[in-house]
Amino acid sequence: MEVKTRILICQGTSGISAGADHVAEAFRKELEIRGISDRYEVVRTGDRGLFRDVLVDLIPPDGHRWTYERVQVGDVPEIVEQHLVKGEPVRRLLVKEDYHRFFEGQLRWVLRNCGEIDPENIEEYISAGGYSALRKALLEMSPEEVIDEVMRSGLRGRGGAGFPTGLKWKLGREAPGDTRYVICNADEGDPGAFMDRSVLEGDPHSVIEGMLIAGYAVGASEGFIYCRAEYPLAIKRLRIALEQAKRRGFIGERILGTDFSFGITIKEGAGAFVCGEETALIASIEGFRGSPRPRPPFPAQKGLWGKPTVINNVETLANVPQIILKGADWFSSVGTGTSKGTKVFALAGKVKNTGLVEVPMGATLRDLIFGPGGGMARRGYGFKAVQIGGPSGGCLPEALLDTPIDYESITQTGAIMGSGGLIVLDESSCMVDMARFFLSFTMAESCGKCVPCRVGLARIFEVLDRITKGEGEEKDIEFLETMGNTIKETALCGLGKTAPNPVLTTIRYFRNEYEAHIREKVCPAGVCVPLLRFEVDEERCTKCGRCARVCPVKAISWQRGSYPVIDKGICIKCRACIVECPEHAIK
Amino acid sequence: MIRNNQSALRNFSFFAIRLPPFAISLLVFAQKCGIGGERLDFAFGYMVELEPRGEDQGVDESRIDVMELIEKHGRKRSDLIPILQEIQGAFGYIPRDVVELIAKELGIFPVEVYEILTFYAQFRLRPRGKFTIKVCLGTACHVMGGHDIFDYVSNKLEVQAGGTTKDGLFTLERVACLGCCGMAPVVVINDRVYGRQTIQSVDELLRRYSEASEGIGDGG
Repeated sequence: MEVKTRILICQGTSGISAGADHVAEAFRKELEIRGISDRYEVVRTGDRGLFRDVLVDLIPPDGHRWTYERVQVGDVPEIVEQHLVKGEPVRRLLVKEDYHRFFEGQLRWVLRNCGEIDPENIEEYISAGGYSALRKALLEMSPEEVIDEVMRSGLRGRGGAGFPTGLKWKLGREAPGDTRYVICNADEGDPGAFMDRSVLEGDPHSVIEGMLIAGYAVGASEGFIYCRAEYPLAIKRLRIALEQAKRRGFIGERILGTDFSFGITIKEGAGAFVCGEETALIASIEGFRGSPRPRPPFPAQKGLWGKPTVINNVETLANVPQIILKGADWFSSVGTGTSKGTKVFALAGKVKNTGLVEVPMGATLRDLIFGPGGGMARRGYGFKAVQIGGPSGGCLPEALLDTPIDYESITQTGAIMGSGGLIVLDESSCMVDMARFFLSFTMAESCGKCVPCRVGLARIFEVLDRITKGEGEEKDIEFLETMGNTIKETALCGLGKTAPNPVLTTIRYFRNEYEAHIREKVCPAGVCVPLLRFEVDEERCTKCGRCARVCPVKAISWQRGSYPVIDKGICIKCRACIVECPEHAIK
Repeated sequence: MIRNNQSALRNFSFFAIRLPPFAISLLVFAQKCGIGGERLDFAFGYMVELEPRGEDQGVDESRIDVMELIEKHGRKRSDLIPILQEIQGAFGYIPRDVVELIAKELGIFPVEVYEILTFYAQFRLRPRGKFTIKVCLGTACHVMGGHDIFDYVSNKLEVQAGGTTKDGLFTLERVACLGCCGMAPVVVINDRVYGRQTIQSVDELLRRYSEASEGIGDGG
């Protein structure tokens, strides 16, 4: 059979929002019109992790990979005509150096198939080696051997807490009872994290295969995938994948001719951050409000409907097939003493390249941000902090950028590894405002069951809110620290225990900003609106007029060669001018 | 606020069951003493949110057969959330009549359904506008100016989060992360995702959507 040229088009949520589905359609039409569609295969893939509007790969039979970025529907005829027909690549659309830099230094184990295969076609997953780990586990290994392999690999939960996966399975298997469950936690609620979404959209079968192996190891016959409703595309692709796996006999009765039977049901979340906590997630599946309960008993002993339940995160499960296939030693050859394998991070914020980055454990934050991340996005704005671990994590300053990425080192800084959100902040971000932002989130998402979290977070938020309005008092910082530490010690679940982290770390590393807000009533970064005067600093202003152009209400009058003047009667304080000004000249 | 006001409470039928006056007094007393805690708080709080009986738009039977849906999912407690999700998918919100019907069919109190409806951010108790604008306020979007965009839209349309404009055209919602952090700040109108928004571009979006009599599905 003739090998076809593959045309890969990234169609994850990001790609589609940039019009990838239209581009794919345009390719199909164009090839049809020219009557050459039988020589090419247009493949829909998930996002590969770098957002460049629409990314298109052409892979001719010789295997060379031509990657085009920011392709629009109008470019398609040119690519087909020039590249496919005449064999001359369209240079202006080819990816540049920074694209390759993004992928160098990454170790893509979990993301190996993202952007490479069609997630809606099980055959592509199988030909990439898929389901052979399941075959190996079921036909050649006993459940105990599977657990032993995972334990020896050193795999730890990627959802944030870092509990050893093999041990969790062992506890689940040894708990008394004849019914057991496996749950895949795909309730990726951390704002700023999108690893799980990309894996589910780009490689759903790897998660399903991981779940099947987990089910076999623990002795479960039923599994649930609890996925956020905010991820409609991930849910759609999961459904398709489950259907295909069922048809191929990987899910259902007597899988691969063995005694092992397993069914998987998708449960859609309904928008509650706390449901990422495992006991709350269980309550939600049972049809109740997602309120956590005290542990022990741990879900592995008493979980869903009182039965032993093993809950693993998407990324954890996606790691499992390869551990079984390539062995524990292969997996543990990468990483640090206590953290093995790789970790996927969702890099976003003020860096050049935003996207998914998978690095070996032990790499430093600096490697990540200035390697694949490509450094800071805007000229004139230097690095200020990196926020790691979402609303449960913390903000780390430049001095800690050489912290190696492993569970213990990150925890020492006062942040947590978390699920892998990594938001880079530059000098235009206010740390008090960041703390206030996270607290407004966790306060709203607190389920209200325990007092420290329900009341304590609200008190912290009130104080932060006052500070950002210029009404802070000298004793506030001390209050925040005392209250934060009290909540950490007394809250019921992981949400409450970690919610004060953003406040405590910003006080620890950026105390001067708090003091500026409280004593001098200024926001050094120009973010807190009540502390801004909306006046032009004529010493800094270069009279470029960009502020006048972006003002949506035309409150800024400017003539070439003169300083702009802001009419405060018209100004709606939207900060568009402050954001636009390259010179930090509007205060 | 109507909360803690006996006479106003009587004007509502208390969750489908018409309670005798002494029962209402008892509930109000219990709430004042702090008995029943959150549960009652929610119950009272959200009664105010609901439209009083008679103003509800009622169930359009032609769109979806609620009974059939319940039949399809089963009557287990764990089916409650999926049933509600499907109903919201069909109506755009959860009509009051349906809450009472589901409670009856599943053998639970309506308040237990409201408990779910008010806990999970996804559910709406009132109809939405023609276009739902979701402004992402996740971390990445916040850093990239999502709040500025939210405030601008809120000012311009004169609605708060969760509110609908007077002309019924736009409903404004905040959402905590859509997982498109690479293209922050993100605005979603109905199901279309718009990345890398600025105040100017979102202004343009609003203009285009208000001008269009039919949905602009494939713009951007």
